[in-house]
Amino acid sequence: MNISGLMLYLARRPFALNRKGISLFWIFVLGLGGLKAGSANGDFPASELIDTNAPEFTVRTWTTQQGLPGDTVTDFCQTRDGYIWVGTMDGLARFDGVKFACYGVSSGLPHAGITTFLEDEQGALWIGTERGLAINEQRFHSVPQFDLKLTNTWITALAKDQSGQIWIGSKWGMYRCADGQMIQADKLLGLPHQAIDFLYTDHSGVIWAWGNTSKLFRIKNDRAVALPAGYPLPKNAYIRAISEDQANRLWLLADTNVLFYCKNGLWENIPATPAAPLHRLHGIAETADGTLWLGSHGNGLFYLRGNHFLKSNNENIPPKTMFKALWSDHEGNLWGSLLSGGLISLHPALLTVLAGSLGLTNEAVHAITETVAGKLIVGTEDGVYHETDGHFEKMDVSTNDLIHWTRSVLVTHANELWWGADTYLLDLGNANRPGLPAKHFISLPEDNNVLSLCEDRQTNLWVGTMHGLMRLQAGQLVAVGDLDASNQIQTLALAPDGSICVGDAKYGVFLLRPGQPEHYTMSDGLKSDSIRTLYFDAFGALWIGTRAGGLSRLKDGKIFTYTTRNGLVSDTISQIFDDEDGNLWLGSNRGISRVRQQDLNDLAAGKITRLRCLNLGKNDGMLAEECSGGSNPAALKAKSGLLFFSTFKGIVVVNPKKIPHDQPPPSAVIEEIHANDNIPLATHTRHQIKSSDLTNGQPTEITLQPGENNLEIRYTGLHSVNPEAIIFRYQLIGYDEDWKNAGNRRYANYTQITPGHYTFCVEAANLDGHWNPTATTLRIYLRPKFYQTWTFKIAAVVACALGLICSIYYKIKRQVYRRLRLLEMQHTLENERQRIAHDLHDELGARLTSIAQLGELAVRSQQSPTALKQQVDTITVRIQQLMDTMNEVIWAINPKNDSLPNIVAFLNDYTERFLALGGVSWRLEIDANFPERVVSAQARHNFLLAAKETLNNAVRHANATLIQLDIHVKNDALEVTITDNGRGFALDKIRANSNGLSNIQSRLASIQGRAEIKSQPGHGTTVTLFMPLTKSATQNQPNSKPIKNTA
Amino acid sequence: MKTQVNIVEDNQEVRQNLTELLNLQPHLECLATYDSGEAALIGFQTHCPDVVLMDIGLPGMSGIECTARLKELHPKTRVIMLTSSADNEVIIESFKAGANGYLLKNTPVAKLIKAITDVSGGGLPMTGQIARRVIETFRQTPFQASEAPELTACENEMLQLLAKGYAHQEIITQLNLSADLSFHHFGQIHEKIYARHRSETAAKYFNERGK
Repeated sequence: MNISGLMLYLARRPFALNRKGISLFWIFVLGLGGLKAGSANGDFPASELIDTNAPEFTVRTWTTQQGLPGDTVTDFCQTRDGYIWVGTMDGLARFDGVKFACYGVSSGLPHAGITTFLEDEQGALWIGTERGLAINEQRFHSVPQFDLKLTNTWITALAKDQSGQIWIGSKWGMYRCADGQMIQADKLLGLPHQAIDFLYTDHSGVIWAWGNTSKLFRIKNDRAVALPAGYPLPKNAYIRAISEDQANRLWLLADTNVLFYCKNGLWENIPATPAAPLHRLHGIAETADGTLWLGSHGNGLFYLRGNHFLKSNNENIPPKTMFKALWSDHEGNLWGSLLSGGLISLHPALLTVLAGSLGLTNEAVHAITETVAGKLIVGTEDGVYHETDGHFEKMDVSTNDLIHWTRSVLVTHANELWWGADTYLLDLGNANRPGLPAKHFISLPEDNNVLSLCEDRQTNLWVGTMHGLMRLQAGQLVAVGDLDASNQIQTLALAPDGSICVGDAKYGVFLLRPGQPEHYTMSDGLKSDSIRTLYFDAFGALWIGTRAGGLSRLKDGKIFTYTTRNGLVSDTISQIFDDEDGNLWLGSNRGISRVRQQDLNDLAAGKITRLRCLNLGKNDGMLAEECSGGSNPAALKAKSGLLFFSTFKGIVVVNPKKIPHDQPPPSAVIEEIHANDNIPLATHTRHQIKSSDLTNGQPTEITLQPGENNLEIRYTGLHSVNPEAIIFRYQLIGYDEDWKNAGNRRYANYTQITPGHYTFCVEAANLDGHWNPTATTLRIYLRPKFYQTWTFKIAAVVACALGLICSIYYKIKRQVYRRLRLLEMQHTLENERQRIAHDLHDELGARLTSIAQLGELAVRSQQSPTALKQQVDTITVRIQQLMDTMNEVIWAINPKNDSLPNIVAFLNDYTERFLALGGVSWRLEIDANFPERVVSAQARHNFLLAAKETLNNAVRHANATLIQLDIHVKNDALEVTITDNGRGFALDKIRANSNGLSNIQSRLASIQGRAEIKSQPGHGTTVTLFMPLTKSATQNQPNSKPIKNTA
Repeated sequence: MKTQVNIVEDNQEVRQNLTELLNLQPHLECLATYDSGEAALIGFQTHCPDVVLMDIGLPGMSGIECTARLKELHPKTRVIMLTSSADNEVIIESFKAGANGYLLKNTPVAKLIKAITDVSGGGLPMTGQIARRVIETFRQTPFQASEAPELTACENEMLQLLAKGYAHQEIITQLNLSADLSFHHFGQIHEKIYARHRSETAAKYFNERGK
């Protein structure tokens, strides 16, 4: 049976597939696939293990555990800004590919049950919920603010027509939104009142509607027309969804086992097959490559090939997966809702892994080669496998159990398979049917292993062993050249000129050109002498992969080495290939890396400082990232162009043509600024970037309050095929001096920022390291605390300066004041002394003179003894008087007598003596106690003189016989009242020409006191003298009642 | 019988002049003079005068202390303090020590002679200030030991009048006393002052000296 016959057979009998037919069918498919795989690179024969046309995915699921608000996803929409909106029965989520931001009733939604989405012409997102419509007028990355309409209506579907008008389907019929008003539209359209299940707008602007009247309606020009029953679907068929693909085919997902679609107005169908049952299809979506996908409820995922649906046999999608719906995003990824299983995403896989499921019982692969027909031969730690019928079969080595640890396999140009394992080298004959017993069997010494095999242009087999380089000659291994037992030959390569190139485990690279051998080691620029692999690229340069020494290039006799410092993913490179697009593919300890050869050349020339590598690792499906090395050939660049890398967990297959090139880099988006989150007891604030903060994507400013100087700026990247692989870099201008690489971290932390203006820039890059040339920026202004502002600082400085000046001023003032006081005191003292001198002179001087004269007179004159006696008496009296005066002067000098009590005592005694001399009676009324107040010398002097004068007046001029003396302290003043019973006088008459009275007045005035004089002719005189008292430092005694006369 | 007067005065001239003046009086006799308190006390051991003129400002032992000791020896001797300035505090102290009166040094001789005569009757009148202070001291310790006698009504009255500024003559007229009786009362007052402050004085002077 040939292939064409098979095809014919199947075409005629689409439904009559029996078991044989099924297996034939699969072979056909695979065969086709296998043939088709050849189209990867012309018509080269290729391995059948890979169907290059079968879509491969990296599958990822998200449930509530990853942050989804609910496990039942109802709708999915990617808005033009790049955010993905996911509706669940328990809330709305906004997804950036890595994390979910959830919104529910507390964020303003009418209900947490989201039913449907629609992005309108202006970019606003219409969200249908079970309790009404919420419209998010989003502009870029705003905080969702929901405009509510049609509350309490269960919205089920949304569609927009050609004019941009929005139609709303609900459980109570159709509505139309006109100028922001919701209008019932059933009557307008001519629709029967029904609950709408879904609406769909096709490319021509027709809205297809389905409701619980089970009729399919076409709405055009505001009129709804029902499709006749039974056409195209059988009567009572239930339609679940409608979708249109790029080819303008409108597909109906119904519960029939036939899939109907409409093209150019004609209905056609695709029948189900046992492999692709179509009666439970729930979702339909198209990926970027034009493949149409179907998600079924219980049968997994199907894709359309030609006119038939094929089941996706991706391991990560179990055959019984229950799809509720399927969607695609702008980047061409496939998304699905799983029944109670959350959200599933399918990214195109960049690599495929061949492992145990294909027959490798031991997955630690060390060597790969291919037959002339393109079939793989793989050496693992338990033997050698060959590709048979799409899987691996292990070659039977039961005859010789000792041989299993394969280090090297090679298929020669004559399609002969050589196998190096343990201490043996075997020729297993025809590579298409390798088997034991071997054609040649060479046994090496016990400690020696075959490490690498290479065939030169003369079909000589070169064998690199643990102890030297050998060549097969006449069935024997013969040592070659100088590379002897001390050399461990890990890799061999054929140079463009036909000579052999050797990589040693300890001694670097040897180029065995006859006549001009070359040897390169670390002293020539290598960063390691342990060579893992050698590869000559299309331009004749030799690429050297080393252990821990990075990648080196030997060109024109010069070596340039690239390490992780230049951006290489790892410093141990074990496998190197180039592809047809100018890229170098590296298998390293940390996965597989693609780097542009132009970049490598530019780095060597000094034009750039860092390589941009596309790195594939565990995230892309590799089971182990460490690529095998230490023996060769460890990897294969197949004739078909596919690259096969060996790892400790299977083989990684990469189709270089399928790896995206120059994808537009993702756009970085600043989401939030958190302040003081990690500071306990400080105010935590969250600034969400609002639309008002950005105008047309250009930043305005965010103002932080004083004290918010610990920032965490959160950003993300949108518009990317593989969001988890986005790398970021940011810079806070004003704080950072250069870009900071953040890897895939999505936040930037800054602590203890000083107040001021900053600009935060962030850029995103995709897998191959292209940075988005337009950085996203946001200006940040941290307001200073009042003590940080310039105003305050200047004020503080000024205040300090003022303070300093003031203190100096006051100090000087005090000094001056002190000096003045000192001078004053000295002045007072001098005055006092002057006064005393004056008093002495006045009082004593004159009298002494007169006494002396009297004495002289007594001596000289001739007088009777009686007269003489009288004169002497006079002298005696005068002297007595003088003694009184002198006592007074002495009393006055004594500073003890500055106190008030002493002054009062003196006045008493004086009065007593004076009045006794004149024979005048007197009466005294004084306070029992006088407070200890200091009276200045001048006050004392003047006051007492005034009192004396008053007494004198009373005795001499008024001729009084009785004098009443009252001495009291009242109102902080000393009051002395002298009342006499003399003849008195008329005040007005006397005042004019009495010196004595005016003297008294002026004396008291000079000490801030005063004198009150009352008199009536014939009725005596009363003179009251007031002297104000100063405060003294000593304690004041309270005045007590004066002693009354009880007599 | 001539009244025996002793003089304790450190100034030689004054002492001599006083002595001469006293001896000129028919009823007075000055047989002993001392120039210091210590000398006076030695003299007083053997000799008991009627009146002693005591200078307050003596070198060494003060006049007040000498007065106190003298009164211990001869309680009946009348002591008149002589002072150059009327320092009321000092005068009160001398009363507490037992003095019976005081005079200013520049008192005219006639007054001095009269004072000596008067003091023989008991004590000398005092100025109003001093009188007031005396009243106060009697008020200050009213319920002390039974030994301390209180002033009689008459004595109190006399002091009050003095405090009021009445002259001696006026007091006599007012209270209808004879001059001699008034001196007797003054003497009583002085004795009572002395008695009240006996222990105080003793503590001050006698314990210090260890006698």
